[in-house]
Amino acid sequence: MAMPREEARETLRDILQTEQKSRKLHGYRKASPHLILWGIIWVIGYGGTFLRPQWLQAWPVLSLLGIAGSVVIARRMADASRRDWRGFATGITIFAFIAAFFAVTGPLSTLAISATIPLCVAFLYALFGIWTNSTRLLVTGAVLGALVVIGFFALPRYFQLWMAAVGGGGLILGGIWMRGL
Amino acid sequence: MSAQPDQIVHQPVRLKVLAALRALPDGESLDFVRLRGIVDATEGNLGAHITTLEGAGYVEVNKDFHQRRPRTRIRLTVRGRRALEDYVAYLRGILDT
Repeated sequence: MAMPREEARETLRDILQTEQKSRKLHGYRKASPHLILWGIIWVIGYGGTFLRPQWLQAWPVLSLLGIAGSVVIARRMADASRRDWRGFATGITIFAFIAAFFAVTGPLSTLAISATIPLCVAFLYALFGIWTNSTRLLVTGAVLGALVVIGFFALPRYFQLWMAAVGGGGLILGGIWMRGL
Repeated sequence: MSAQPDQIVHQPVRLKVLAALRALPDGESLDFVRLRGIVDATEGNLGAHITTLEGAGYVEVNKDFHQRRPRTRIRLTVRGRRALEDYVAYLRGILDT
């Protein structure tokens, strides 16, 4: 006896919902260690710059370490047959964009430099969230962007400390939360 | 498309297992614990259904140790992907008639 149409419709819906759930959780699992790594880098970079402003010079090195760390994480997580160059290329592209951006804008204040990078990150999270239907990533981008702007205008003297705590700390907590899903 | 559905696939938990695995990029596997969360089944129930799917050649089961803990990973085979696609075509065929 053939399956009733309503049952067929519900079964197709179940398949689609299960696939969406699996795809979303897979994305969170992949993103989790990267968020934790970059959270640690932000805590070190911003915390260090708050204590000693000359630490700002360490950001390019910290960024390259972060890119190298992300590549290692991605290679460990991927099955051998799926390793490719796109993660590394993405990291280098972002690094080159930020370096070129600051090269063309000329000297900026420590505060402006410190706010620009996390605003770019927030922008990327939001875009990625929109295009992958990930509400969590979209909200993360929006909240991060709002925190940067709030800290920039309301707490300029403590902005580095603010970013270490809410930016770096937020990334670490977000990564731990995603890992448990 | 066959007139009758594949009876291995035609079971809610097994169908969800195949759908959850099909959503992953080609060749990637899913941890048993995470799969259990996605399909919302008990450990024993899910284990039995995975054994059935493995017996049919629809999934591959890989057991190893990760951070000193036993880990079971499940991966969709080409045959399993084809079986799910045929089943989806069967369902769409019902809706199209």
